[in-house]
Amino acid sequence: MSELLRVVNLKKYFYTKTGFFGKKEVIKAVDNVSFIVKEGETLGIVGESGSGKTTLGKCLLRLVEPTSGEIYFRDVNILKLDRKELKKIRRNMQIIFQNPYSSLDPRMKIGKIIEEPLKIHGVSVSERSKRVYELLDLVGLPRSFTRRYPHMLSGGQRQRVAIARALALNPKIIIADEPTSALDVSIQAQILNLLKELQKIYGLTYIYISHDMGTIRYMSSRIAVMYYGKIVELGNKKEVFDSPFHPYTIELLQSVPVPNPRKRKIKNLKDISYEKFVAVNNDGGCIYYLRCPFANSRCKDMKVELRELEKGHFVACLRAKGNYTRQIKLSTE
Amino acid sequence: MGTLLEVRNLKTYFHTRKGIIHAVDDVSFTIKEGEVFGLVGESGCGKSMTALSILRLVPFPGKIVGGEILFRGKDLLKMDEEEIRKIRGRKISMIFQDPNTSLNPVFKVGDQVDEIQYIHFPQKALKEIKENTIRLFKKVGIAKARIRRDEYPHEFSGGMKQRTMVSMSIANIPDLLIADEPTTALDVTVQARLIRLLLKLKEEYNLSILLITHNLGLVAETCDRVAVMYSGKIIEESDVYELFDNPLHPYTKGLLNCIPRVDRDIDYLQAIKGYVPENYGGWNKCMFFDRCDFAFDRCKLSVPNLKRIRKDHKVRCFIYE
Amino acid sequence: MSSQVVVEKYEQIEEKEIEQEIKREFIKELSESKYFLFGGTIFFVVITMAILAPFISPYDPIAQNMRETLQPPSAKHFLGTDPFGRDVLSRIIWGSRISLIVGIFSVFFAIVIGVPLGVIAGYFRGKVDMIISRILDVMLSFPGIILAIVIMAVLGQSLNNVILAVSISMVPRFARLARGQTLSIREKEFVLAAVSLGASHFSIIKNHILPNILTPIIVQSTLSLGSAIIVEASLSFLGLGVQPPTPTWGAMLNLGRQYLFTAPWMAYSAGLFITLTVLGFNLLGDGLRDVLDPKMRRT
Ligand SMILES: Nc1ncnc2c1ncn2[C@@H]1O[C@H](COP(=O)(O)OP(=O)(O)OP(=O)(O)O)[C@@H](O)[C@H]1O
Ligand SMILES: Nc1ncnc2c1ncn2[C@@H]1O[C@H](COP(=O)(O)OP(=O)(O)OP(=O)(O)O)[C@@H](O)[C@H]1O
Ligand SMILES: [Mg+2]
Ligand SMILES: [Mg+2]
Repeated sequence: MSELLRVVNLKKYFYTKTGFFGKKEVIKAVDNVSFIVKEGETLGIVGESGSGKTTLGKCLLRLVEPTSGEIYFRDVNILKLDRKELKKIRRNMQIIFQNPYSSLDPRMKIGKIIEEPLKIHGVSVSERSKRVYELLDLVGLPRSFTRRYPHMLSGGQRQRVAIARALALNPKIIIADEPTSALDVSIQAQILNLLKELQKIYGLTYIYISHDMGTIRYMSSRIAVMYYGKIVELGNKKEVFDSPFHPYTIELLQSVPVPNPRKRKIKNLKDISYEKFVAVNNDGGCIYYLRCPFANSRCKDMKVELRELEKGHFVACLRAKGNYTRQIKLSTE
Repeated sequence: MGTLLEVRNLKTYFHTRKGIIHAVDDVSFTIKEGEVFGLVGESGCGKSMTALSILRLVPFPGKIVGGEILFRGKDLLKMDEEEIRKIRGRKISMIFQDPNTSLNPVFKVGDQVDEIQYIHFPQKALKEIKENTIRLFKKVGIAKARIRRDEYPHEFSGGMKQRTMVSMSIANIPDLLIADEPTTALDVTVQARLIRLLLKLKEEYNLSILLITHNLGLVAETCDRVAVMYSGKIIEESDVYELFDNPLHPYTKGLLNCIPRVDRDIDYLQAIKGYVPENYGGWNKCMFFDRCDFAFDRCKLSVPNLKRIRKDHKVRCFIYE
Repeated sequence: MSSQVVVEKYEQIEEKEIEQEIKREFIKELSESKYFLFGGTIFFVVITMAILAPFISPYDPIAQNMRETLQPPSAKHFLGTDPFGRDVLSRIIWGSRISLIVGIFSVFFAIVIGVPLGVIAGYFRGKVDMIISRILDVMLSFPGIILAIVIMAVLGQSLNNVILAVSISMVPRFARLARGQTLSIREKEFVLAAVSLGASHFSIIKNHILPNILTPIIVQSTLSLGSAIIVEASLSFLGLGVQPPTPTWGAMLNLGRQYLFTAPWMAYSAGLFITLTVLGFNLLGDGLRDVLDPKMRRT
């Protein structure tokens, strides 16, 4: 598999003021993130609210301008392109947003919405209507929907429309930012399956963003775990889920309730105080330091970087060494 | 274990322009003392309205049109306003889904917890109440309680606000705690902490909990018994082990099959086709008919009954009739 | 596609039917809104009065009749006459023309100038926004009526200048509304989606921003019609409006003021019509908002 996207030391900082006379504050939404995405794979990005997943996704398409870093799409640095060149390359990269209720223009009919990308990129009128029907068929919506407005559709149907729009220009890579988190589980499964199927047909590459470990496992081939703007663990699905290195990944996995009452575990997990739970270490060391059950004094101020502990399995943890953090067996089947 | 709450044939309807929505359509269940009872279902199936009906807080244009809700043998629906007010926040308390809107932004969090105690025990000394609030804060894991009680809700994180809600809900040591999707707005790690807290409090006070959720994982982790709702009706009710070992209704089976699992790889999720219908005018067939892989003619002609199949396991499906 | 992607039975529902249903529902909601009905009725009456003025007014509004000055209301002169013996009812009817012309044209120009300014400020933000916003702030720091008075004093009295003065005084409110709305719409994900598709600024503004800020602007323009009429009447009242003897409500009010105790019908009828018309437009605006806003929320 060849490399399709390469992200190098990407940073996005937001500068905000707190309160009226408040001091300026830096939010490191994406903090020195690097990874590559190979053609045809799905890179899952998982992390809790505020960890910077959406910001990362938007940076990749330059929907927000990164503070620094490089993003290569097949050897072209996207951040160096002017408007015209960017427009060309955007054909190849599309995004599906989390909220199907705000990602479709309420004043536009479905037909118009799906047609928009074709129009922007100069497809002829007759081609366009043919393609719109094709796309509707593809995502499993009746053709008559072209005449409906978004509010006449359910959440799942809207997300199908968003997928159709993203597919219109035959992109190479699709960034899906929590496309199912607003949907019911039974509808979620339909959408996930649709995305998988489309990937098979068109050899699409996905960056699949979610806070839900379950959907990430189902969708991804490789996984990056984000914590406060940083990638703390990156590796193949199997390894990240079944033999995670980073204590945060372990905490995440243990916190997910499993639908099996005979394997209850949440009740018996160890609790730490709230102060520790929300504390962020600003002493230059590991950001997870204060919350981490394995931390030692070195973690406080020694710089941690993502390192390859096993082949293709990266982790940003000083303590992760062979099986050290694996002493806690996951209480799963 | 004695029976704490018994809901019998509860009907809550919404009169809308397009017709009458039977949001809660003849629902019956019982919650025993010290039990965690789960009410699961996808959005719009009537979970919240069932919960709000118990406290008689159904919003306009909704109306409870029939049934009985027996709390320790007394019908809540027959009580006058004064009596039901004495129950709310005292004997039965509630936690809502959105921690951001359930606290009043202009009052200090501590004062809000004080108030709920004062309402029900005005004879208590204010000092005592304030002390108790601090004890409650410590109990739910809000550290530095003495300082933090004077902060405003916007200074609290989502998880902290939800903890404040929990402290309010247990302030008067109620018998029943209704938690309507208490963790849906929270991160998984925060959710796990809150669930642990609820279970701990349950043990300590011998609370009964009515847990409303769409997350079957959460049900498996916490509940003793479960009712699955679909389009206003309970379609399956069972002991939690029995439900997960041996689900009967095609919808329950479908739901269990379409959860992406963290603990194992799945090649293909068995999605349920179609969409959740709105219950206009009540059931006149099995409302799951359109989405069901096992449906036959009878399913679209009449409504199945909730039938006991085994001890502690009921299902509403013609396959079992 | 495989069995998983199931085409639902939605085709059974006639699409046409759904569209009609929505229209029916909309009309039904409108017809159930008391505000809208009441405001709409007044609006309709005033418009009719203005259009049909030559046919329904019993007398020439500027013809003086010195033998019948200051007559109280009677069968001959329904609302009496003024000190020049002119029929008050006829002047009211013709006066509605000036009120409406000034109202409609000045709101129109205020929209034409204000909305693009606001959209540009809200869309591009940064320096552009700062410059436009400061200008608007300056304009807003004068009450609209003062601004209009200054403009009239500088430019001199004529119908065109009244319209100009009133529209300039109303530009800021449309610009601010448009700016605020644009700021919120441009953060919506459907706009980001269009950006990610490579759409140009122009096409995003035309296809996504404008249609989505239309509703509040329509509501605002109905409300503004009322205030435009007040500003016009005030100018006339102060003698800064359209040149006499053209009948305007404001001028009639002013004239009536001098005879408030001896011939109150003049001031009362002018005042009543100004109040009713402005009230009507405001109610119409409120009614429209009630009906349109929940629609916006639902979508
Ligand atoms: N425009 C902005 N201005 C200031 N701060 C921002 C902005 N956008 C995002 N942030 C901050 O950046 C951080 C990362 O936000 P982001 O939306 O990327 O998180 P996320 O991982 O997508 O979270 P969620 O799961 O809630 O969607 C947050 O702390 C957020 O408050
Ligand atoms: N204000 C309302 N007006 C009209 N119908 C309503 C209203 N509130 C609720 N309903 C109806 O009641 C039904 C049940 O709503 P309810 O809030 O109990 O669902 P729920 O199971 O709690 O769903 P969710 O998971 O989304 O919270 C809905 O399908 C809806 O049709
Ligand atoms: Mg996000
Ligand atoms: Mg609910």
